[in-house]
Amino acid sequence: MKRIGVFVCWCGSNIAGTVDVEKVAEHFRTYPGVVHAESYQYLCSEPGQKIILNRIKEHGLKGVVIAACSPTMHESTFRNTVQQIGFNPFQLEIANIREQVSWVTEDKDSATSKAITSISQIVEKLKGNEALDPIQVPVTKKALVIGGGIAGIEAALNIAKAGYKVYLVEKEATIGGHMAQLSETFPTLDCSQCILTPKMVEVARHPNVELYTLSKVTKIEGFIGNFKVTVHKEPDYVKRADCTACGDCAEVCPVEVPSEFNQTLKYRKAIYIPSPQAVPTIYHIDPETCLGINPIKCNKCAEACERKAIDFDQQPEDILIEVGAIVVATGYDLYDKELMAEYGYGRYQDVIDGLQFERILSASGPTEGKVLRPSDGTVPKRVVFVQCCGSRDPEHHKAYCSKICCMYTAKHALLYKHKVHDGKATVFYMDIRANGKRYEEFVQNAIEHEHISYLRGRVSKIYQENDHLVVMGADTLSGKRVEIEADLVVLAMAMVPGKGTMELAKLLKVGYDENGFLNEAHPKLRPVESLTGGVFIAGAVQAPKDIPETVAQASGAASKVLEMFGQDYLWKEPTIVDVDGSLCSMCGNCVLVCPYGARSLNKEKHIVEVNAVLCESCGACAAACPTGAAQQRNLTDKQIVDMIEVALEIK
Amino acid sequence: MPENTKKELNIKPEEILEIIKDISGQDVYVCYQCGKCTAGCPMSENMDIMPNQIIRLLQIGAFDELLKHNTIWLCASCLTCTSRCPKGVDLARIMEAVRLLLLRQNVAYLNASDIPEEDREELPIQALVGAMRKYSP
Amino acid sequence: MKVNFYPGCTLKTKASNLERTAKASMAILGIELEEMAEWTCCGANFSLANDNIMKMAAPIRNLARAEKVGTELVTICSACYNVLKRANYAVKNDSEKLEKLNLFLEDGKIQDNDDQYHGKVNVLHLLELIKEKIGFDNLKKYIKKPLNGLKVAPYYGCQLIRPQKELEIEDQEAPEILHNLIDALGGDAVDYSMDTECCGSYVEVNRPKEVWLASYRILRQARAAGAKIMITSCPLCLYNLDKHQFDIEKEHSDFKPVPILYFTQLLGLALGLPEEELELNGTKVDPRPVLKESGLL
Repeated sequence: MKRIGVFVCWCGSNIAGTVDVEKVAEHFRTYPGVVHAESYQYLCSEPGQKIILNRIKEHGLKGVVIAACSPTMHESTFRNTVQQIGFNPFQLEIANIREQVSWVTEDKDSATSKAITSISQIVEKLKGNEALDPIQVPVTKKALVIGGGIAGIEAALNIAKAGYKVYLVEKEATIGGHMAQLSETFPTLDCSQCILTPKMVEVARHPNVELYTLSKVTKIEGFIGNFKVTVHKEPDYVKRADCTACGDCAEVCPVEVPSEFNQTLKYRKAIYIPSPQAVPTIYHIDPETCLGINPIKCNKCAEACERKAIDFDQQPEDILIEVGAIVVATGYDLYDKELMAEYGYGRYQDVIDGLQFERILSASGPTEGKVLRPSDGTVPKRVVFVQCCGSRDPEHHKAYCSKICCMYTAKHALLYKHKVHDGKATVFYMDIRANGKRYEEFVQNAIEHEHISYLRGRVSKIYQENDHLVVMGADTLSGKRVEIEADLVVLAMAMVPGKGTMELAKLLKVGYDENGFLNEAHPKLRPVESLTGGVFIAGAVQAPKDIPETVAQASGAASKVLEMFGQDYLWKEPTIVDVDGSLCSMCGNCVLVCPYGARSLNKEKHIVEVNAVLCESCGACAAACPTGAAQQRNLTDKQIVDMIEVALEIK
Repeated sequence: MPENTKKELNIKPEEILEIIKDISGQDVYVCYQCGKCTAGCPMSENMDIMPNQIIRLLQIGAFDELLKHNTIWLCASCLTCTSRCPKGVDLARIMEAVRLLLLRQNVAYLNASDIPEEDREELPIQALVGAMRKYSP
Repeated sequence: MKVNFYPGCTLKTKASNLERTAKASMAILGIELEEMAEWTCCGANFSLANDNIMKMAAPIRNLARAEKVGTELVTICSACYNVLKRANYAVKNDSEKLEKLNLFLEDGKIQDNDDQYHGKVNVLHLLELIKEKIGFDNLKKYIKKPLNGLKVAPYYGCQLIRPQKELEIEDQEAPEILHNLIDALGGDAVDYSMDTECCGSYVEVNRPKEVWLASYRILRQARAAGAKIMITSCPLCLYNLDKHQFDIEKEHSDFKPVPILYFTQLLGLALGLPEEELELNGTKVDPRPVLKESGLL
């Protein structure tokens, strides 16, 4: 029988306060198969780890059970330790007697007996464990960055500058994302485009970066270090090399549609460039609104183009790329103001959202930076800003705080006052959340110096009356209901994941939360990794965040990619699910339930093939297998039965 | 507030929230005091304190203070607050519960005999029946 | 076609013109509103107390009696609609509550046929009946006297539309059913922001001045939007909105009174009912001058 050592951790008083650790150790001293048992204050400490190593040598241990905290905490710590002396790490198992016992049990006797049961189960499991070797995976040292906003640009630049190839995929015709639409940025009031455009140009020109605009990721195969990705690129219908962005084509284009870049506050043509700073700096045809590409209906643009750059024959392409790592940086959208019933369902022209106001404030925007309201182009003398629109409303909209609205609303009010000196700015807020470097100072400065009226309360209704709007709100600080007349109302709409995030998450097999934001691997310690190996996340696709935080996270994601690219091989847990060919009936259940595509039926050879690299050891196939052919390494059916039997005291 | 409601209530202060929860099914601690109820209340013009403050006073256990104000008797049960509350608090039910707490102590806010004869003739029956249900034990 | 009809107290007294114009109009549309047997008052407002099961007895007894005739019960008064529909919703979603009420009905049998309610009745507002059984497009075929683009402010109030989750008749922030009716009658439904704001309801009994203020907000907006006339389905809304207009006019010289009618009166007018059957003399603000001016009388 395997010679097993049991080590019971006190975890200070975390465990020892509730579990009689010495009694537990005593119990295992006479347990079948256990040749050594002891308790110690902190096994994870340096001396604690030494004790384990010494005992392995002294007693010739072939198996080790650490009874301590959750394996997610320290399993790798202990396994790495024992590996130093040539002990196979997969002969070490953790019994969780903290989260599952001491923290959730009050009575000391029952906690102690529950700890004994838990450890017994792990001892029984360990008896069936085999020595395993980690699986080796090669790495393709190229990265894919999905999303060309500030997060994607930053991550792509970081990786490219470190010397690795990056494919940057953007669904729009230009990179830059929402940041390119902003006027000035809090709390420093830097011009957003001024700080962003150099980066846009740099990333597009970088020799290691291959940029695909009007493109989407449509297929992802493979696994960490070895992804095969299909990028679907829509045509520009303009030859990139020949277009000088002179604009003669747009001049003659007869089609006018609301400009997406200007948040519908201005018109664009069917052949257009989203903004003068767009990268790549070329015009392209929007086939949805063009009068006809195939067959050509109008052709005015082609006639006007001196360089003959218009090419109606361009076709969509599917480009296959191979990468080792993927950074998802697809960003956010604003929650649709048309969903705000009591604020008029978006039907009042002068009730706009935050991004629309950014465009109005922007020097390159529809009003060239003059504050003019959409309905009649007059200067609004009374502007009401409403925070938390769609945010912090679990009953009708989104339960979460969108984090950036307090700051950008203060910025909006301030910029408005800078431009319209005799204007009156009123802000409805619930709490001011200004927790960033110089954020609080920024808000207070706006209130003090610009005399912005901050009213603490939510708005119940907005309605039109003659040529102005009326905002029905409250000021809970004075205990008053207020009705404020406004010429323009700016709604600080909630941030939601960008359109298509969920479809992309499914392609990538990355988890997302109830709001559609992508899940990080660990909320504190692994904030830029997803749970799918080789897929990293950056920016507002993970949760609402501002520019500095987005940039920091993008750099973090890039450094994780670089950490991977610093190695020639990756190592992966070997506890995969094998198939015993003699028991397999080729029913295909395991193939069907596998969420990772790791299993396939080979009818010719009459076997189920398992891709060890793709298998994430979830065990779904083992549970689905009707014959017991699918067995997870070190968690076989027999091991599970042994664990159950000892728990039920029938063994 | 008529004189007769000022008499001693036969309820222990610590029981009040429990009773209100039983009657209304609403937990006042769910409210985060955003004031949206107040912002939309069509009857707030002459309320002494605002609808959100009714919940606030309940949250801090100041029930006696709450009784000094006319707010609960001006509430028309129109459900505007209820329909827009971001936290799903049904304030109309809380208003009703506070009224009932008093009415069940046999404290009448309005008796049928208080209504002038000519009004009784003129008012639609639904107004009279409705008012008696809201204002008298 | 006959439908089972619950009139309620107010339609038998103060708002008898609502009932008569509804019946006459529906007769033209081929629907007979057949008054259900042995109905009682619904209670006028829906109790907002969880433990006030006794106040559900009246509406549920009415529904039990209606269930013997069929699965539909049509009502017109917004308050009756609200009470019956909410009580129905409550018992349909809470079998324990229904059981308790049925025990009570059994115990306190007033009629031989009062026994059990099985939750099979669907409460319909007359507006829903028109929308579903006739259709607003189809309704146009019956119009004898189109309203000539008369600007009419639809007033929904509270009880017809809130709570949306239980009543499900309309979007509580942007209802359309009265708008659609007005447009079908050849009128011009004006959009104004106060069509779902409360008129003050039963508070009128005790604090008329507060109701006065609530009504003024509504009327002022309707006027500003160009309304010549308003319509509603609630007798109490009609009373409150109508009653204070001359007082308002005294305080606000720029305010001009707006006559208010039941939607059935406007419907009857467009369907060609003779003037005397429309009973246009029930309100303080006389609607007849406006209707004459518009060539409708």
